[in-house]
Amino acid sequence: MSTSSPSANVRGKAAIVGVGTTRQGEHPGRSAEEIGIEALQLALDNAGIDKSKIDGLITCRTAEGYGIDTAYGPLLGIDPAFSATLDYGTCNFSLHLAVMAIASGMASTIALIYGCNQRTNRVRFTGSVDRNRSFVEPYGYLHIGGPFAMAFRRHQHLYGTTEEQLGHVAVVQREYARMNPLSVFRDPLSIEDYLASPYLIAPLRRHDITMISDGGAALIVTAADRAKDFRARPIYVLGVAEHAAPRASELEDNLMRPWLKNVAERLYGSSGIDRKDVNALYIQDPFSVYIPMTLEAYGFCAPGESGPFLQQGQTRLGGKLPVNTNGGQLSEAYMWGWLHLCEAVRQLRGECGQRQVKDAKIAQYCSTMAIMRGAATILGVEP
Amino acid sequence: MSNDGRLLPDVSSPLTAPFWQAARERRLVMQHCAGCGEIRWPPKSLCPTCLRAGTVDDWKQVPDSGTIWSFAVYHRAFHPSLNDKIPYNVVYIKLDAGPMFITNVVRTNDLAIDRRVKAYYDDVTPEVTLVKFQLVP
Repeated sequence: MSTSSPSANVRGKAAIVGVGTTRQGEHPGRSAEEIGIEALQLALDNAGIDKSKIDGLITCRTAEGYGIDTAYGPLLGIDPAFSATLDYGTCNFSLHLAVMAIASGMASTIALIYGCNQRTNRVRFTGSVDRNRSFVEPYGYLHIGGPFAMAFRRHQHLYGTTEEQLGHVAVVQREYARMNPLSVFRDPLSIEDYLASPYLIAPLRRHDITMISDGGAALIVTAADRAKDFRARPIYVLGVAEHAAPRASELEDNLMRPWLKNVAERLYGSSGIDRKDVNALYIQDPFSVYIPMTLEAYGFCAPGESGPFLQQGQTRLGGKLPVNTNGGQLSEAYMWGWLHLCEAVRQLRGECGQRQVKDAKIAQYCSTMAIMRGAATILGVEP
Repeated sequence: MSNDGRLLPDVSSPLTAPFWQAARERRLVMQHCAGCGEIRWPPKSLCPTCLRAGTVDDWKQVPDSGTIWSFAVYHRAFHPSLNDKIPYNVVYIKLDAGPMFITNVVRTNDLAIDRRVKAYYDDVTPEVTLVKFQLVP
């Protein structure tokens, strides 16, 4: 059976009315839930409500098992009508579940929370790449960067993409991070610095790989027709799409995530928004490689055209398509991609100071969970 | 993991023992579904195409040759046993039989995508033979 391509029409159903982010970096002595609740308090303040207005809770489980809703609930002191935990990260999946719960009437105002203390707890990315450990570990295939080093080398082989072109991802994101008070990494980074740094997993260098950090992020999502009751300027959800591809792990080219095109097709098909309408793009970036490959998967660049696009500075402020204006996971903070969505909301509200994209009205966020699940959201200033 | 700290496979698991037994005999085997004929790799207890339960008879020899799809070169040791191995390669191979296979390519610093390779059976302990590969001249 061929893949059917359902399209979710969620336009006009839900809006983000609160955003909260804690200090990022290290929070020794604090639990994941404590950090998450600090973020939630900030998001509630931002929305101008107290916790009694929350009738839905969607938490994100950390990779090591903290942060489930039944751990948050007793600390938060709420008994919501709808409650769930996702372990997919990136916030895209959590936002989509919130939109579904609101559209169905199961809840009206939902808190999304992620808190983690993985840096303090010394969680690492360095374990086995695959659950079939016996068939990868003996070859030294460790660290989730390994598959993406291979993916980038393949991209180089197919299209002639250069390491210097890839280096512009880390360099441009560092430029943004230096304009973002939340960022963990703010030292200047030139393309010469990048190229002079040693390989970690060739062809990737340290600057191509995110570093685990502690921190919290939370959002308040509500029904679009209630959005104006909150203090903050509402940012509307215009389109959502996902694709799960667990079986694709055996495809020859799965490391290139060919199934992301299904997400793109559903996203633009259902939202009435075209990629050319997007003023600011957010791409979850545990590895720099995600930027060129996602630009191509969603059609912002033709296959093979992302390298020149990056080298020309088109993703910088003032370029054709500003990307990861927060500094991304490479320079702002890891946070499993949650901060991208927070930044997208703040950009559309016009709150981003030096790094503000002028007249930003539409933003898009693209993410994946491991190499088997993709999601994207389009946000806008009007319903 | 072995007693000396090396990262070694579990060769005793009933699901995968036939693979490791064949490797010791310098053969590459994979499961072939008795129902639909599909080759499945990595090993699975049932066929994901037709959902037929697998048996030990599903293991059949396949050609131990293929083509390099891509590779990474590790310059950092993410496990103590790899400290004296870096830099080392990890190579993703498209086997001629169809499946993709993670491995190391031995005795070369001249890796390239699309190069042809054939198996090199590396007896790393008396019980464990790893299926590595080497370039075809």
